[in-house]
Amino acid sequence: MKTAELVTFPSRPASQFPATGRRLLIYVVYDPRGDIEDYIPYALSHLREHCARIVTVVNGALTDRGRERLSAVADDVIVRANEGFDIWGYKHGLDTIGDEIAEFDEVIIANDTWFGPVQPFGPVFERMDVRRLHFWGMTDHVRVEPHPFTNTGYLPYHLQSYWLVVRRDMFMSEEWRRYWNDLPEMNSYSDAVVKHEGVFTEHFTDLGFVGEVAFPTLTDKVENHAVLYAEQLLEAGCPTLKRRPFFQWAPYLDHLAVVGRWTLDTVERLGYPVDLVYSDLARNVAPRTLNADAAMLEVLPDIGTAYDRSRPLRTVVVAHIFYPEMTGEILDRADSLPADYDLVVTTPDASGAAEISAAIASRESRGAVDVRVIPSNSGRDQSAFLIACRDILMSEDYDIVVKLHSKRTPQGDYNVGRLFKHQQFSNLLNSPGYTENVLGLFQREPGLGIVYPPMVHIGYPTIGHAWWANKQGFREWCATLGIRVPIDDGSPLAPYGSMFIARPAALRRLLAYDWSYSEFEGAYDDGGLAHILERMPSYAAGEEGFHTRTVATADYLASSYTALDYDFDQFSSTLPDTTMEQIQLLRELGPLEYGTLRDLLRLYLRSRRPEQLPRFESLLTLCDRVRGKLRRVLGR
Amino acid sequence: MESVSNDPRQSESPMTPRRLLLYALSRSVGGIDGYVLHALTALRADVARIVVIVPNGTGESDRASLTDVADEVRESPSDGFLASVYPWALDLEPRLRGFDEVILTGDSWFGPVGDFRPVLERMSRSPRAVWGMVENSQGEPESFPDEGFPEPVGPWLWTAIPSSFIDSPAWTSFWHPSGRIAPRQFAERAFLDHVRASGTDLDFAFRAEHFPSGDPGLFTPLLLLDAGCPVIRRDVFTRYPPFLERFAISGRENLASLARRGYPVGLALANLARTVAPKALNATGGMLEVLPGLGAGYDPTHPFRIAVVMHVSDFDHVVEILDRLRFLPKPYDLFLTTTDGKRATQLQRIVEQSQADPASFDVRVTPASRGRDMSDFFVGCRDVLQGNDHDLVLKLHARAKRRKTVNLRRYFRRYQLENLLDSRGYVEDILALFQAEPGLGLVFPPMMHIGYSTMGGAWGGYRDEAERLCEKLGVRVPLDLVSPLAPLGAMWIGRPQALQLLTQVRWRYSDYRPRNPNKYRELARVQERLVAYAASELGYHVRTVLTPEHAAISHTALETKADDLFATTRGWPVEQIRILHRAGFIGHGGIVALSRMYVRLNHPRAARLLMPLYELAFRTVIALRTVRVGGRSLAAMLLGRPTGGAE
Repeated sequence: MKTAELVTFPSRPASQFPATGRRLLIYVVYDPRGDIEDYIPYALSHLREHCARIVTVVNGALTDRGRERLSAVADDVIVRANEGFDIWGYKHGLDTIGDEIAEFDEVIIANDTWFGPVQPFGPVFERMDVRRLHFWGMTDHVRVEPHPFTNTGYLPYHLQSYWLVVRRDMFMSEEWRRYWNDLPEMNSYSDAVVKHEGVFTEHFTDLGFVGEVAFPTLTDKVENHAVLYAEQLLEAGCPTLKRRPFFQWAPYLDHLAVVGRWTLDTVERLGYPVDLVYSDLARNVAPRTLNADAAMLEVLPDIGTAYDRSRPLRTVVVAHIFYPEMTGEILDRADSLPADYDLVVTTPDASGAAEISAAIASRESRGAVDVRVIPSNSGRDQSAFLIACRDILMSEDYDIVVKLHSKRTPQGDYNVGRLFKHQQFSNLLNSPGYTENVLGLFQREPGLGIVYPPMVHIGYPTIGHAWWANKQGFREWCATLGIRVPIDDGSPLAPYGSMFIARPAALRRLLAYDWSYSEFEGAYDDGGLAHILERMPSYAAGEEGFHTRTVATADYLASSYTALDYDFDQFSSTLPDTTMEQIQLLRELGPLEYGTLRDLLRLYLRSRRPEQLPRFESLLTLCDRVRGKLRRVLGR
Repeated sequence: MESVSNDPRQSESPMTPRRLLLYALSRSVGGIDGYVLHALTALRADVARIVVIVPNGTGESDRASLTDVADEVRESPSDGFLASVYPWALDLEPRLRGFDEVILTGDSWFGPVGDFRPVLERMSRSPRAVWGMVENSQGEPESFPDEGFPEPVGPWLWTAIPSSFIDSPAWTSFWHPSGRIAPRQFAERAFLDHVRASGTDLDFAFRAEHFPSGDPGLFTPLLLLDAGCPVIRRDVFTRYPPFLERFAISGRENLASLARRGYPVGLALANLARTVAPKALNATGGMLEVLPGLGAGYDPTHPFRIAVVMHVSDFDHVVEILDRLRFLPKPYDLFLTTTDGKRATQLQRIVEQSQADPASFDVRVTPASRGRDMSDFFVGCRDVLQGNDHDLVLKLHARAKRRKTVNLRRYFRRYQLENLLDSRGYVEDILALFQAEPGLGLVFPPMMHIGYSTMGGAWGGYRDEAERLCEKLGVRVPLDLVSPLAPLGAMWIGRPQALQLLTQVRWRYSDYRPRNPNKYRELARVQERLVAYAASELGYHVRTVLTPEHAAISHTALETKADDLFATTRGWPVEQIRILHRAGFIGHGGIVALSRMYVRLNHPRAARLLMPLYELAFRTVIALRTVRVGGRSLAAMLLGRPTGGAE
């Protein structure tokens, strides 16, 4: 389709894509791991029928596994240093092809920032092939003034650079050769937009080349449609779905009322294998961001509707029972599982083990029972799970593991502890119907790795703080365990309380490591190993391509929702503008601490004169020292 | 009434003390609460005489409604509750010596949960002692006056004294202290401390040491009930929600537990609806229902007579909305309003072709009004709301919102419609709520926050207007300070009787005109924000409802935004909120705002003195700036120059 900005006069003669034309695809990949996510071969294999030659250009690393996968679907695999973003990757591909480009009638230059084809490519090519044009793009972006990246001038109307198609008349031209020859250096994402994406369309239109867009902007507002109207574009027949709406900052998407969950519904309905989306996102998006962007919470009823009894999941319940008197309570919960299950209990001493065994024996059997006395209670349920139950969890005998432990309610903050315990047990194993629905999620989604309740916050100051002192240690252990999933800035998405239902395969990264009890000594100090591991399951699962969902009963959700809603409303009442802007403002100001003079001065400097902050801090240190000395001199 | 001597209960065993119960009420308006009558009825079996002390100004009919459950109703000289009404009422008792024990209590608890008798029997074994129902050994909890939750001053929970104690100097010296009287002087705890200090035996039916908290009445009410305590304190439900949340005191759990123990929870809810700010009650009570859409609890043999009232100005989505009406159990009546005859004819056809299939439908032509759907509802469909032909009214609209983005419009539409009309099963789930709770007045989805800047100020500047309208309507329910509990979006399902205070007013279209002198600024918006308050005044409570999908979308967004927003302040939300509230408006974090925050946080007393001055200065600056800019633009206009650069 034509848009006003693509009208050029006088224009150069343009032609259709010939019936027997040959098409070249230059496809640029950036995969931090170099493994090549599943959605890439899927996209390329679907482009195969439309392309005579597929050249893949890999920016950065490529593992053997990645090379194998690309080679299966591409004619050429080029690996280059990760420089100049996708744009210089395109240039590298074009340069490599060189004069051979003359053998083709059309070249597609595309990158890997989209999933697809969600809708078939065929109709789009059919439609565009008969148009007399020099270049076309899949989607466009309207003109923005001033330029959002430079704040001066304007961002021209442009075809988005993730998918551009250029016909022979244009790529054989001197202007084309010169454009790529003179391509400026690009060191940032902003460069890629300012120096290429934003100017390419205008440049060639001004030169009289005829461009079109397959799916023009859908609304009359200045917005990035490929990202914000992904779902509507798919409905309009667009084959590509940008990855961006699933990893952008959640408050931004929220501000614009973009609902990623509905987009994924559409993707699924249109027949695209949505597992490919989830496995890629699980590996490459910080879990809490993904949880919010795709609304990956399931509020499940107590009436079972979603479990297929003809396909039972082989289930093991692993319970660390430190307080044997809680055995019955734990098993009552476990008994809500829809099918038989094996039970493994770990406990630190033999007399407790006897008591637990007796309690189990007095109940109706639901499967094999194994009560294990572990040599150390260092690391409690964590070490018991990772060390004492490693053989079971690595055995491939089970599809599902339910991890529980005897969480006792502390006397000091009795009510808070009681509610936390209830939050854990009820949101995992509330009733036979509810538990069926939880397991039904695993039946429905082979890529679902782990489920657990949303972050506890009633009675606990977790909101905004749930990393506590564990982030640095977390980073280090991720490096040790080979977990490269991005780490959330804000509170990590984690099974606080350490109870969850998971596929053992999703926890492979944690289970494969050779843990020892001595590593768990002092593990429950802030920043200690137990707290780090408590936060890690979703990141570990993500590394294996498994995604997380949080699960809740309607009853818990009611309490959690109304509390959050009320607190949030109260908290924002003295802040200006929208929530997104409030967050930005508070971030800029930094920690308010206790609101003392020093704290507020820091706030001011941080946001207005950050360069002065170090001087201020050394001044404070000096003041404190002088004051200390004075005190000593004055004998106080 | 005073024929105590004829009381058959006198023939009880000599071991049972003759008890005189002084039951004080804290409110004089809005009728006598059902839970009060319930409590007094239950107590009759165990006490020989009941005296109810009502505040000054209690209506005749209210007093009359108490006569069935009380032996005497005394109107106190004070308007609200003062503890001194207890000695005052005792002075009026003619045959005080005829009782063994006097119980000082009132409407500050819900009960009986279970039975009073076991506790009374247990405590009658030490007849000489003064005893209280529940010990509080840790002092009064924090209160939040700036947030609209001052320390509750209400009748005592339950203090029993031997009638002989009234002659003791300890009794007299408590009520007639020497020196200044502190505000908390006559609190129940102060009395019990005084008793203990005076050397009198003091006992508690439920001692704090047996519970994990020093104040089990507030912090572990369910453990108390488990231990046989027949009452639950009202303030468990009425304190500042973030404070209750800090200690995991869950109103939802407590109400559910009361229901399981056989207490008629509707009575408690009716009282809480009238006395607690509705959004706070929604939070404390966790009064949100995520409905699975399975229609499991609905009883089709007791259908409701339903009316749908819908204003239509946007024809783009009207078919979609009408088609959703097929989820309503039939028959139902449909009332459509639109602004001209041509559209009305068009609508007529659309309804006939849609899947709506109403038993009857009415298309009404209404004047184009600033009040849009609200004026059409309250004026154009007054007959529907006032007539007794319907048990439930579903209010919908198809209103154009051209200025919003497509994503915003879509989210709004899906949020409002799906959370009321998602499927047949979902509608049945909602109807089942109304079947289960005769006191349920309204349901609607919670406040939208995705794409809309509602958080922190959903009154939108209409709170003063709302206060004014409440006064006119006789709504005394506390108005939430920050945001109202309201169907923002103006779609809901409710009982017409619940809205009676709003619907009985003879509204006119002219009332909705902007700048109508002596009228309400943006009446439609004020009414939209007040429906829950009007219902609450009549004792109807409100619940918010969500589909599981919308709950997922909204909760994950709330959680992650809150996590980002709360990241730079310390402690529990209650502390984080408090420091921000104390600091005051942050502005954009400039030097002026930060200085003001400094004074407010660190020198609150100075701030109280300085703030009026500051405000005056601030207003002056704004006024000067306005004058300057206005002058400049006037000059620019006269000179024919563009004014754009003036800002």
